[in-house]
Amino acid sequence: MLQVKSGQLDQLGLLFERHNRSLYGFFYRLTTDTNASEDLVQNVFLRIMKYRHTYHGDGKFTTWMYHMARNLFADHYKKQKRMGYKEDVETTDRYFKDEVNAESSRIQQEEIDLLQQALDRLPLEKKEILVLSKFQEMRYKEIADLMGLTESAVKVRIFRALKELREVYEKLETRSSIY
Amino acid sequence: MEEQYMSLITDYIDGTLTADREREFRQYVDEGHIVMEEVEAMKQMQGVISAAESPEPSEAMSEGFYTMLAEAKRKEKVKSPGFLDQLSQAFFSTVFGRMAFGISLLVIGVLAGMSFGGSNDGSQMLALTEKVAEMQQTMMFSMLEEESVTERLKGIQMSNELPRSNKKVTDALFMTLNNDESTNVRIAALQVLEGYADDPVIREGLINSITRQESPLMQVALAELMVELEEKKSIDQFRQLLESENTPDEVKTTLEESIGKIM
Repeated sequence: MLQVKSGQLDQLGLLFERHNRSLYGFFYRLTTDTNASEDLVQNVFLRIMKYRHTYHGDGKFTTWMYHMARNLFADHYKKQKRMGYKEDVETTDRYFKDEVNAESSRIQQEEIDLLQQALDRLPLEKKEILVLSKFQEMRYKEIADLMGLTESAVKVRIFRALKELREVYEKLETRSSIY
Repeated sequence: MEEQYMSLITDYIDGTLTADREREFRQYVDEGHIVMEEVEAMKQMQGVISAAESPEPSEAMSEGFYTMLAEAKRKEKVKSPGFLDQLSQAFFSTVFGRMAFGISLLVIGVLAGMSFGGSNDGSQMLALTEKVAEMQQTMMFSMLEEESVTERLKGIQMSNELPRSNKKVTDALFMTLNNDESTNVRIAALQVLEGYADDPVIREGLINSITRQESPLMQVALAELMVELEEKKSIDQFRQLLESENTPDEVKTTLEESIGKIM
């Protein structure tokens, strides 16, 4: 039994190698905070380690992992709110400041920054479903399992989120071209 | 817009519409329920997302994880002697227990003889196991030489799976313990070597390592270990640290306490 346990611990390294980047991407897209995202990834693996006995192999491992990731993010989000965290003006305006100094060859980088900004302006629910489906490329079936929705409900939500993202993105793009 | 159109558009953008659903989609476009212009704009948005680079975590994240893993493994190992103690208690504390132990050894021996005897499967298996261990060992050595701290930590993790009596492995671990520039890596090496501390040679190596450590974290970790092992030979080494000007005062206090406990 002890050997099994330690075997599972060895496998944790493997799981970390396989999933740390995608989890980091998930948290980073939601928080735009490098340190917080790294801490959150660490906490996901702490939880996996702590609750590994509760995973019985029913359902996909990634769904189980993202379930924990979402819970941890919700806690983090609540805490930030309690602490009176408001959207960081500096972060939001970074793109526009950058643009003044930047060279025109940085078009791709600009697009990414603009994209993140647009994403940050969406309501959390929409932002999350887009991050999972479009950035982390999670299957709709998995998202449905994760969120307790039907697959078609997921598709509807993704449509709405993508539509809003495009609108926000277009507005930001117009604004930046005026500068 | 109705939800059925939305779900269709999502599939269209992903390019996953089946032939039937594609016909349905075209029909709604013709009837004016779905505006192609809007759909194409959304598809373009998806293109921007696909082109976005994924954010990369720093190496500190991996380091943090492997340190945590090493710590967790160490804790599990600490638990295991309890189990072994119970077993040895059960087998060796009574005459009946000793007999039971002898008989089970005999049974295992006979069973093993029956399954391996007459064929060379057993020796092949053994050769294979040796080969794998050899490969793991080579890999571990090269990982310990890596520039990345994470790789070196993984190398140390790997040494856990190798036979403990292997001198080359323990030598490599000592080399790391005494010379690696990262405290995390040195701590991880110490955690593995701690497990072998009942071997006098290893114990000697650990004692000699005390004065080679400059980081307070390592000095304190070794002091704790020596208290646990009740190792009197370590006292001289600690005294040297106490006399050194480079040792921080807080560490000196801890060392004095440790010496007190060992004596």
